[in-house]
Amino acid sequence: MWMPFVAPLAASGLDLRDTTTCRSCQGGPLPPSWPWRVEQRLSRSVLRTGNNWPPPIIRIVASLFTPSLRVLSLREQSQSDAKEFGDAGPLKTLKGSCSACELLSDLSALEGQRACAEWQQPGQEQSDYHPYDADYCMQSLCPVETAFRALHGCNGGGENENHGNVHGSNDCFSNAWPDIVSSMHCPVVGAAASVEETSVNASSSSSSRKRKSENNRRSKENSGGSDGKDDSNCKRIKEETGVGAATPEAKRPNKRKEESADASKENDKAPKSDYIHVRARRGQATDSHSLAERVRRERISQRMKYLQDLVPGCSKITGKAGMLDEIINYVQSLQRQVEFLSMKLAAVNPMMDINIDSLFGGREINPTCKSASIPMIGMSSELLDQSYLQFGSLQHDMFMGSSDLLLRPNVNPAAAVSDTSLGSCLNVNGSSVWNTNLQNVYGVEFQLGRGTALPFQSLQGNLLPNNLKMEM
Amino acid sequence: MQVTEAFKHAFLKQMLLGFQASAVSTKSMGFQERKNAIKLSADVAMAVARGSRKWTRGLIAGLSEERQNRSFLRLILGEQYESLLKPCHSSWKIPRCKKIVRRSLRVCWRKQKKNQSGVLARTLVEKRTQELKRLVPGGESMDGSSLLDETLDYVLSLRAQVDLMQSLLTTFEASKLRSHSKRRLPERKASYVSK
Repeated sequence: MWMPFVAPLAASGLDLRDTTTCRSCQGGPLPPSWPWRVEQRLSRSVLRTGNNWPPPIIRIVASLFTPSLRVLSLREQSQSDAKEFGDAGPLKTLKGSCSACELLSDLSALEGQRACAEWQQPGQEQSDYHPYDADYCMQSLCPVETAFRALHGCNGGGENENHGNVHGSNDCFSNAWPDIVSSMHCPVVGAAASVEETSVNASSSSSSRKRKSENNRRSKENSGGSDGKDDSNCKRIKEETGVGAATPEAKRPNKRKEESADASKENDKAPKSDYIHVRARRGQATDSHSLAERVRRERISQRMKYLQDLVPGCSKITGKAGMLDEIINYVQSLQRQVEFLSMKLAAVNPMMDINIDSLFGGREINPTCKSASIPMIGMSSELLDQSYLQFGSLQHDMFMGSSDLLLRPNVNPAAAVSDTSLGSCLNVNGSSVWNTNLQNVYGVEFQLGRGTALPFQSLQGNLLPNNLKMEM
Repeated sequence: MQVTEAFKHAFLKQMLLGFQASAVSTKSMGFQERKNAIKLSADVAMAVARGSRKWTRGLIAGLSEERQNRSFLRLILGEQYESLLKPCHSSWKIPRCKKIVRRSLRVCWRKQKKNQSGVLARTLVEKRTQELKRLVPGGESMDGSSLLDETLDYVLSLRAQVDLMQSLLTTFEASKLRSHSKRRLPERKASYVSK
């Protein structure tokens, strides 16, 4: 049925062969990238030879390829994502569910939801072109479907034929036009939730997964074993089909590269009006590369989101460079804080012997403090085990000791305590040198510490109410 | 995102052990020395409490570069010291197929030729990535996504470290205050009695 479309191509005498090497096969000449070149050349041929191909046919031809590729590439992408993130096993398509939606679930929840929504509105018009977007893919399939049906004049005929051919579309890289159409049709019919389609989808998706996993393995783990298989596939494809058929297979990876490149560039173009427009993205690496790039980019963006939550004040910043700037500043400030605190601890430390004595020696007031009964001069390791367990209660004690400070009504009790305790320390501490140093440094630190005062507050905020209760 | 309680406990225990081991509380040390010893034991405690991660290994490797620290580290870590240092993946390169690397470089080069608009943004990001690699211990040998992973972990642990040290500080200061007030009371009593 599609032969009439092949004939004019041959008649126009277009040489659809190029001489760039097939990257997946690493040897044979690469057939030209079929879909967009076809678009280009079809239009050119129309202009040149004056064939009166009605525009809708060209549009259909163009759009027939593009959505299929996108669907296939989406499937592959989802498989690759699944492989990436360790999801096991083939995607199970449930009866009555939108299989395409399930395939998309790996990509992102949002996109999948949108895609499902799109599926349920079959009459929706093709909106703006979102390269490599679930929406676009799903939307574009519907007008294609209608166009296809219009061409053939009967729904049942087309679908039946495709059902028969479905298993012929063994891979995403199947060759013949009917196979392309049938594989394209799979998601379309799948939306109608027929069991056959789901099984077909599962088989085609599993086969596509196999192929994709091979590619992944080849590119990522650098195993040479699968290369032979790919070579044989390429060769087989070339042998089996003619010129017109060989081209769609190899062109799909290029088309996908284009799409992914476009997605990375985020071009918004309407292919309806602009199908002659050529995106010159031909010199791309193989599809596995661009897909791997996409996976890597998504990973990085996910981690940037986590960091955004972690670093305070980063919610407004969206760019990668700005985010990294904030992260660097934050890490530097934390490291400086550690330095400063260690300096302060060094300043306090000469008194530590006495502190320890008083900490563990003279405690009779608080019944909860068990360490009171244990005489502790210097820190022996066995006592440490007990002491660190009761460090929490120690803090209770300490704050009870400075209870007069606590009882002040303060919004920021932690800061107040440290402030006044340091102040009193400074008064007590006779050396003037330390006074000025610590005061200056403390002033700076207090500003810095604002950022981290909140977690510190949460640490101590739990303790304070208990203390107050005990006081009462 | 918060660190676990177990981490905090282990951290504190290790820190106090470190203080003891380095004999920080003796008055014989100078101020700078004491500060360095405290910082060292705090860092080691953080690394030990976190376990085995790229940045912890990098941190300990960086610390053990100085001779004076090594004995301390060995004391603290015991047999863990060697085990932490040995599987040092920082020097390992991820085995990559040269052909694929060349191919991808070609692609990047072609992309750059055709698309000059993203160059500025990319250089900015690269500069900042370099700086972040310098900040995070052991960061030079990491690639983009794992660098961000380790940064996340490191930031969490740093925060916990700051919190713990702050609470330790307030504890000591408060106890010092108490001890001072205690010491003063008998004096006051004596003076009162004498009056």
